[in-house]
Amino acid sequence: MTEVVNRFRETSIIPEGDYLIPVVDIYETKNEIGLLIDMPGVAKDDLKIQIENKELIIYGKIRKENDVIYYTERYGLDYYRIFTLPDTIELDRIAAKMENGTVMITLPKEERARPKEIPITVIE
Amino acid sequence: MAVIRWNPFTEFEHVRSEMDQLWQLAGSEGSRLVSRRDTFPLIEIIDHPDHLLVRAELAGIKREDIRLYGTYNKVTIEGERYFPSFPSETIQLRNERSYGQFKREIELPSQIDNNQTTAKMKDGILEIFLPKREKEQQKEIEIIAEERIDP
Repeated sequence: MTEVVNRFRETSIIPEGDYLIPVVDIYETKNEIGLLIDMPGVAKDDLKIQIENKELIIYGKIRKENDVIYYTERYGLDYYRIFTLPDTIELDRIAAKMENGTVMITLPKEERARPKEIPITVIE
Repeated sequence: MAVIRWNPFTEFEHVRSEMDQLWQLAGSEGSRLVSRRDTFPLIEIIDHPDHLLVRAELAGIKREDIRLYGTYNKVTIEGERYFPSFPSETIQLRNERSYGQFKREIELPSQIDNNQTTAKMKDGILEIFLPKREKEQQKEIEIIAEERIDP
């Protein structure tokens, strides 16, 4: 289900309006930075990710149903958030997948940004 | 060794409000960005003439980690969101998602037939279908026009 995110060059993928900021967890391993973003109610086809000018823009359109709502705590708004990327990410290898309403994005680090163990020579 | 801290969701509320302010400053005009509350899961109830629908936001939680109970007037959602298993030497840079056990009891606006209740999950939304008891179902009442009044 993993797919490479396209880098598109439209002016904006975001229509005007009110948005909800999705919650995110960010973690870092030796070779990558990972994002876990919760977007309940967004189908895979209604998710847009754009990378432009060192920014990752994520937009998720929620499924709206014509129900007569008796009670709600949900905002009924689409999701939108921007992340600034570090300089050392391999932009062409960014990948994203979606599972159970959570988006997982992996940002691979460039070779030069991956930590390497430096040998220490003991001089007697 | 994994350097992962567990944090209750609430501790990050101040960070979130700061972020929201930043967004307001940088935000496009006319856009209002809304932050989430602590209640988990967030729900909505839809009242149809013959059934109720309860939707709950459960992003990132597997079906097998959720249990659902129902009585004639209540539905309970409980379960656990597990921390993702990261490789060793993982550093957690930001944590806004909540982990751990959750339980929510929802009182229903009508009495339901809890033998006929069904539920499904899609895109992180749990949808519970609760048929109303016969006597609670809304029925149209016929209005008879009396054209002639007997003397």
